[in-house]
Amino acid sequence: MLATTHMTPWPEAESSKEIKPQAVSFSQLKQHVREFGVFRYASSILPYEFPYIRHSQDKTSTVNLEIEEALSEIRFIGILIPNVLDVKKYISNYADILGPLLNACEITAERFAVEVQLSLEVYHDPEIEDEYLALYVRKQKYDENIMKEIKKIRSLYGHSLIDKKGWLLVTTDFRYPKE
Amino acid sequence: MGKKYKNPPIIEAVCEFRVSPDTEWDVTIPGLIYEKLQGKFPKKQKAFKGKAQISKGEKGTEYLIGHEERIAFLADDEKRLVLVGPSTMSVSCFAPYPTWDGFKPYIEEAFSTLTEKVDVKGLQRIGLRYINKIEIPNERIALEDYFEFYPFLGKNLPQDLGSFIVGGIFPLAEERDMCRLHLTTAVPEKPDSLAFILDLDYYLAKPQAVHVNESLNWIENAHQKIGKIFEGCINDRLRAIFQGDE
Repeated sequence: MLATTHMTPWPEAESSKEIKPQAVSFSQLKQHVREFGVFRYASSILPYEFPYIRHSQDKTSTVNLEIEEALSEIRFIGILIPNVLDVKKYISNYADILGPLLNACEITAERFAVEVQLSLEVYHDPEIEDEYLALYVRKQKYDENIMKEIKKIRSLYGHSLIDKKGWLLVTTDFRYPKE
Repeated sequence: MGKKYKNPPIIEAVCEFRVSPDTEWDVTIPGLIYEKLQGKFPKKQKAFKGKAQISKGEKGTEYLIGHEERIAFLADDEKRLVLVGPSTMSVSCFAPYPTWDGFKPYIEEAFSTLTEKVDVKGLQRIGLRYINKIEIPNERIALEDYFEFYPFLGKNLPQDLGSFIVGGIFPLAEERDMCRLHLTTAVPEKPDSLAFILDLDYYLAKPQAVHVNESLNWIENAHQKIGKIFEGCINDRLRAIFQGDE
């Protein structure tokens, strides 16, 4: 995924001018930032009493954003999500799985080397009405150690599934990595 | 929020009220609220909100991590919910967004129930938040072709971004209100697409600066402001996607 910016270049900063630290009042600061072209469109920069971090932590609570953020995080650590809608629907129905899911994904991604493909999917049992999240480990070549490794991973996240309505299984289907 | 579109990108809209510390709140309040709202929100569900608190104690910095129990009352189709927690009540609606004319009555009803069942002394915070998920059917785009708010990259930086987050807070109404704006990359649901979350959170920053009786007017004003800011973040090419023209 790539997104490119092609902005009109900002005016070049006059690097020959020496910027001496000095106490500036609010109104002087406005002029400074325009003069040196640091922020082209900054209409005002508020004084320090207005810290961004503090204000950005106090948010109106949401329900669904956590799922979007979690999926972004899972993708970021290199796990494929072939059917995003399916996974989102499952997590929406079993919201308590989110924490264990992130935990299991991080542990699994850390344990396995680069040659492994990790894929988060929803397993739908064809015989009974049952579904759960499956984190598939797929390789070009399997050996007898794969299940040993998977069992080790399960022992690390398994406790976090106690009392949860949702379910998650790190497993393999012994298939080749999907393209 | 903003203009009306055929395919609005809103995935969640929330209106939240936090009552002042001098308002008495106890564990019976969610039940009292449910009694009144169960006609429209018949389903009940427990919900938890993660909470982290950092404070300076005698032995140094102390970290307290836990969770706050809340009760969710859901509509039959689970597209709307009321969430009640300690000193807090919020009303959410999910996609498809029923327009402001469809969402506002639920806010009004929930707020009226709150003030009927609780002697609200003041409002510590009011928030109106819109989460938009924007999917663009392309694997590579120039951000300025779609957005009016995005990260700037100086000419000496690589010009291709893999993912980003950019944000800011606009002080409004002489810093009584704030609007926090975030744009970040997200996971697309359709293949060969790019996705972004555009998150706008308009809130009362000065506790109790709005009287309880004026809260609904404040929310109406917040909605208008947030709509303008949203429209200010996008350009016509994105509007065409929301209209189903692209």
